Amino acid sequence: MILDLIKIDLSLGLLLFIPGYSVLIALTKTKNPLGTLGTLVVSIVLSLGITDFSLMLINKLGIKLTPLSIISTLLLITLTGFIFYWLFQKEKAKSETKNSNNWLLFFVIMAFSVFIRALYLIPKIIPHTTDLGHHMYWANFIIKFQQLPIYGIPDVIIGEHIVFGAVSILSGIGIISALPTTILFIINIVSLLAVFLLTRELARLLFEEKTAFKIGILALIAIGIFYAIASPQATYINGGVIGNLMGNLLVPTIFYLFTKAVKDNSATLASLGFFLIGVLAYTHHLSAFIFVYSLVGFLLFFLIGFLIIKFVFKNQDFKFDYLFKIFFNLKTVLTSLFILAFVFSIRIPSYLNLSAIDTAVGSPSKNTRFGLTVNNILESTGSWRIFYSALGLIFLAFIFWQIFKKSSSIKKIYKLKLISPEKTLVAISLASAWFITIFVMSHWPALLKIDIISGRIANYLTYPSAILAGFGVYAILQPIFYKTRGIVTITIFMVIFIPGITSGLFDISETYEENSAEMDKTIETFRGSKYLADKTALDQKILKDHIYLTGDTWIKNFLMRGYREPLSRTLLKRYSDPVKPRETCTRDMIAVSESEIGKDCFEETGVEFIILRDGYDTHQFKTSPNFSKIFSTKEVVIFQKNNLAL
Amino acid sequence: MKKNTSVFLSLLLVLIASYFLYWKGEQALEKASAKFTVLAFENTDLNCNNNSLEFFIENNQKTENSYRISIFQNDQSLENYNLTVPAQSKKLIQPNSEIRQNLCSQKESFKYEIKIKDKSVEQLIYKLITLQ
Repeated sequence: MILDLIKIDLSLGLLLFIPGYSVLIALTKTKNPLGTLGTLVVSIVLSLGITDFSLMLINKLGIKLTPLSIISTLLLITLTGFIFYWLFQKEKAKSETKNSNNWLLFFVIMAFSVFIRALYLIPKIIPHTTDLGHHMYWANFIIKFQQLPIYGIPDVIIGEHIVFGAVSILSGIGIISALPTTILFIINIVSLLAVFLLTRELARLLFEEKTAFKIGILALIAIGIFYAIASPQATYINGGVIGNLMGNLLVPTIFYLFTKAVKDNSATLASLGFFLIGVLAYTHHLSAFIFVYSLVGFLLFFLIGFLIIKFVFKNQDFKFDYLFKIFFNLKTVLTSLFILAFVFSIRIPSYLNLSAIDTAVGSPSKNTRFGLTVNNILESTGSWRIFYSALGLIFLAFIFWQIFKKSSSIKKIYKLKLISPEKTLVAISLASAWFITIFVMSHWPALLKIDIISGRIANYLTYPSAILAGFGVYAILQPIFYKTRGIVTITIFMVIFIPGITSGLFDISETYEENSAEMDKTIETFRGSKYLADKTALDQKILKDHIYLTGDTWIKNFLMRGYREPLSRTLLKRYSDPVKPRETCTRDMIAVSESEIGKDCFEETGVEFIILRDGYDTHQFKTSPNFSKIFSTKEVVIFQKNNLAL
Repeated sequence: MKKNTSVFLSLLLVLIASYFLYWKGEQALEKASAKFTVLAFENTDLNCNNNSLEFFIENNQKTENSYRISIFQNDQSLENYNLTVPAQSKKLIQPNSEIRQNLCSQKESFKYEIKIKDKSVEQLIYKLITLQ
């Protein structure tokens, strides 16, 4: 076990930290360019991208993805980065020695965030969930065939699988273990840090340093502690919703880099943000789609704000060219060209085709895509978080007004500052537009011509709403703390946070809801799967049951005979899809195996083996003369179609 | 608390939690694996021969287990005996040679059935043996 942990450590270090760090310090020519935390988070996210891009490249060159090829490629990139840094470094690292009680608070919040998630995940740690089983097939493909898969379907994207395959190849630990959940757990925790960094950076453009930190801490509470179990967090880790989790790490990091680029006038950071957009495009279609909409929303807000500043406040200090030079320069153009060249010459993301785009854009086609009600959104994002994010929005609009007013006492109370109009506008527009765009996408999808399940979009509200909630809570607390101390402030503090605690921690009660005995049954499914893999020929057809069999999507990881093998009886409602007519044989071969329809289906599909949960739709097979029962555990049985009837 | 101390402590905490998750996962997998018995035919051949009549009992539990084994042909008992399978091991079993010869010299296809029983469960497998 200790050896396993060392192997995981070394693999994660090589895949998820070192290359990103070396590239970051080489490009910024500074040892600790974004502070300890910022450097750590950006190095992890950049490493994720560098691992993806370099493995796609060596795969394209026809080199097998072995431990040697992966390690040597990543070490080469790392070494190049360190050499560049060593040759061109600008300054010695500044040691950060800021002491503050707030950093203790930061640690306590992080500890609590980690604890809540671990508490939820431990009883469910056996790999069993549907999505994770599907995704791990592709990771297993990379491990088994030492090359990247050509999917042939738009639903899955290579960036979701490379890191799992690579960690497994390097560590030698299979994916039918707790390894995938552990990696997703780390990704989720790093995304909380990205939200903290982004919020603090946005607030730094509007407030004094100490205030910015406080707002960051409030956002960290809103994202890390409150509603930590609900989607898109701990339930997504357990469920293996890889794309969303990675998207929710990439998007705040991109916005963080852009904000930091604006604040520090750094084209390098902007170009790193562009690179991460490329990584996002190779990781998750929905996250990339929502990111593009959010960016358009931001530009719209920015334009409106600019017009107000220019014509209402008559402010002539607005420097468009300052922003233009940060985002349109040699570095960003070269980065964009690199990504485009990669897309067209190395690998096209599987969803980039007209039919997939057509599916996502257009008038909503099903009632699940007509938009969520405000109540639905409150439920999915969390009522406390939405309430304070609405307050945060109002507060940002208010301070926008106050910052540009010639004199305002509010500025002193809230510790506002005006660095420059364009930076102020970037901070306010980004924080507001990200939230509002996703809100409109999930509430009025027809308005934006979006044809995607509204609930899926609403999940993306969590991150921007946590940021706005940080501003919202600060808006209430600051004037009170400014004027008063003692019992009044404690009362107000409790009035704000007790509803958050009751509403936001309510879902911890779900922690032990799922019976862990149910998950133990997955192991019996695994044993049945191994039996089928060992005893059946590659061309023999197998049917499984998704409705009752626990961990059924993992069966394909044992067979490794193609993504659609074995055939699967899915949830019954899916057979009556008004938009896309579906085959019904997978249903009929289990439900009415003895009927003419069932027999025809067996003939048509060539299915010879059926794996089921004992006692669930097994009666017809047990009483049929056409099937033998060849495998049995307490929970799982396998039937074989006879050559002849008895 | 210093900024760097706080960040490094948080990082350490995440690493420890990740180790713990992984360790709990491996432990849970091992524990769940040690809870059941597998009864299955050694191969999927439906023609009558030595291989197709062979079956196995896999005792995944951490203690040895005694099973009452019954072999049937078309619901007629052919053989009954007790067998102890050591902890976490697999035992391949064939009916005795006389029964095997007898079964494969049949003129018609027949249902070949194996039943095992231990103190907690009864499991059953069967196949339709086709004569060549």
